[in-house]
Amino acid sequence: MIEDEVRQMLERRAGDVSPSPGAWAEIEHRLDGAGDGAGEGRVVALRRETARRRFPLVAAAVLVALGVAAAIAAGPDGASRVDTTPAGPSPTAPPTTFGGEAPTPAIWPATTTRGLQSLQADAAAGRRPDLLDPRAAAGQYLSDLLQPPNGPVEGFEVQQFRAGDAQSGEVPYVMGGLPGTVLVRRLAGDGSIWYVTALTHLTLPVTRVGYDGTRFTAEIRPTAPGRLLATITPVGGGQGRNVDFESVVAGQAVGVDAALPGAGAAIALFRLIGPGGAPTTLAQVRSDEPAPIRAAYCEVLDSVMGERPESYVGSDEHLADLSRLRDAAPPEVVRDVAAYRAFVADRVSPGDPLTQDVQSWPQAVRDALQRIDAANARLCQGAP
Amino acid sequence: MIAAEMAQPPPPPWAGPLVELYRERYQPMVRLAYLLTGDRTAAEELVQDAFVSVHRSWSPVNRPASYLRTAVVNACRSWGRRRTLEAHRRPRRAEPAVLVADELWDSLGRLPERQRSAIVLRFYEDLPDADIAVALGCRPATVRTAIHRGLAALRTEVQR
Repeated sequence: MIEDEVRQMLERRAGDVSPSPGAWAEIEHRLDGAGDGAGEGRVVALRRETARRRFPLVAAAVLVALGVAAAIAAGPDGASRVDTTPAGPSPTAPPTTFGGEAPTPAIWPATTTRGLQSLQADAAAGRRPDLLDPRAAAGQYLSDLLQPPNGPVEGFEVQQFRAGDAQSGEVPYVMGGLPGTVLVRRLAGDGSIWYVTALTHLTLPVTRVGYDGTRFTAEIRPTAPGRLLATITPVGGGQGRNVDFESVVAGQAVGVDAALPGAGAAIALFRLIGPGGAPTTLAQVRSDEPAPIRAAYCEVLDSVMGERPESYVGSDEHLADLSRLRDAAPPEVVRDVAAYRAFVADRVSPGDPLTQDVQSWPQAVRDALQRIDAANARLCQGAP
Repeated sequence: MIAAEMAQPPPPPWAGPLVELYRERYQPMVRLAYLLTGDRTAAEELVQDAFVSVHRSWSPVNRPASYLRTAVVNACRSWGRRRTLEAHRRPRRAEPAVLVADELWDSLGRLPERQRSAIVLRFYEDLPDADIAVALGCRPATVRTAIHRGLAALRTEVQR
């Protein structure tokens, strides 16, 4: 029955979708941008504020780029009062490698050097004793990873640590009768914590892992048949995405080429679900080096800038441009760009010039624009 | 995490019910939106837009979950129409070298937007004709026709 097949397919497809952890923060931002409880009242207020000065509408389209936000910031005396304080990442945003922090190959228990150092302090204080032993660390990592929906909750056996050199090694494990390996590394010398750099599995060899600031690429050649799923998580900005594959034939090379603009690096988790309920196998890797996120953002900024007609402001094309800018934005401005885009989407219309009056926009949106403008000058024009 | 974020005093009057709605319906709505659009990123964005819409219309809304679902369906349909227009206007980017072999899913994505929406709402949300008609803004008879034709098209594609 086609009905049953459709139902099963929809259930299967939907079951693979997990919302991003920062979703509520994003909604909150949109609500902030819309004003607290303003609703229709705010629209009425905008229409009544005819005495307010309208900004040059031809430039309103590039508010998020340069110039107009600075104009907003300029006081009556023309003196600049641009706030150069970075907005900072969302409390639910992924940790960042942007901003001069030393890169790390870690995928667990933290993905930044700062995060690992914080965990080092916890371990030294006795709060994370598992991180001081490579086998225990690998076991805890697997326990975290094997929570639904990533894999089976059924047991796995963690074997003895095998040292490679003084600072790294591997921890073999067996899950569903198939062997895998957790690669671990030490943060510093004796007494420092162990972190995971990769998870490998015989059935899921992952090669040619790369990330250039816009696209994540890899090649997998599963040695067993099944359904292959990939979850690619950005580190340091950008937005995560999932990539699905179906009916993978054993021995067949599968290339992954996923758009992931604006991140500093990427961590990819691959799952191979065997036919007929065979055990799930997993592999997890991190792209090699932090990517030139700043260059990617400034490149998008260049393409978004330029004079536009009034009909562009608030149009679908404008929103698409702002989406591209948001996707490429480094962590220090991504929240503000997202909030600005949400406001434009919600309140600004290409057919209603009154809604394009920047001076009548909520202070929170104007503040966001100031921060974006300051960050743009710093990131893309070399301003201090 | 959500509770911690919302703990900052004073919470706006809509905060509690909206958070409850988020907890109960965000993931199902993202999944529904994904089935309607085939795009995970767009699905989340559209559902977030829908939550903002629900917030704006909170007081007169008696059944926020139903309102939310209708807002999501409408947003997905608008998104689909915009994307169709954009596809005609813009040069097509090279597809990534990925292997996709879910014929039924691909066929569903090729259905006309109303047929796809009706099938998803029937076979994923298990909605009756009347509720689907409300969500799609059409008559129940139109829903039945859309589902019938959509299933026929899927059957043909799969058997091909």
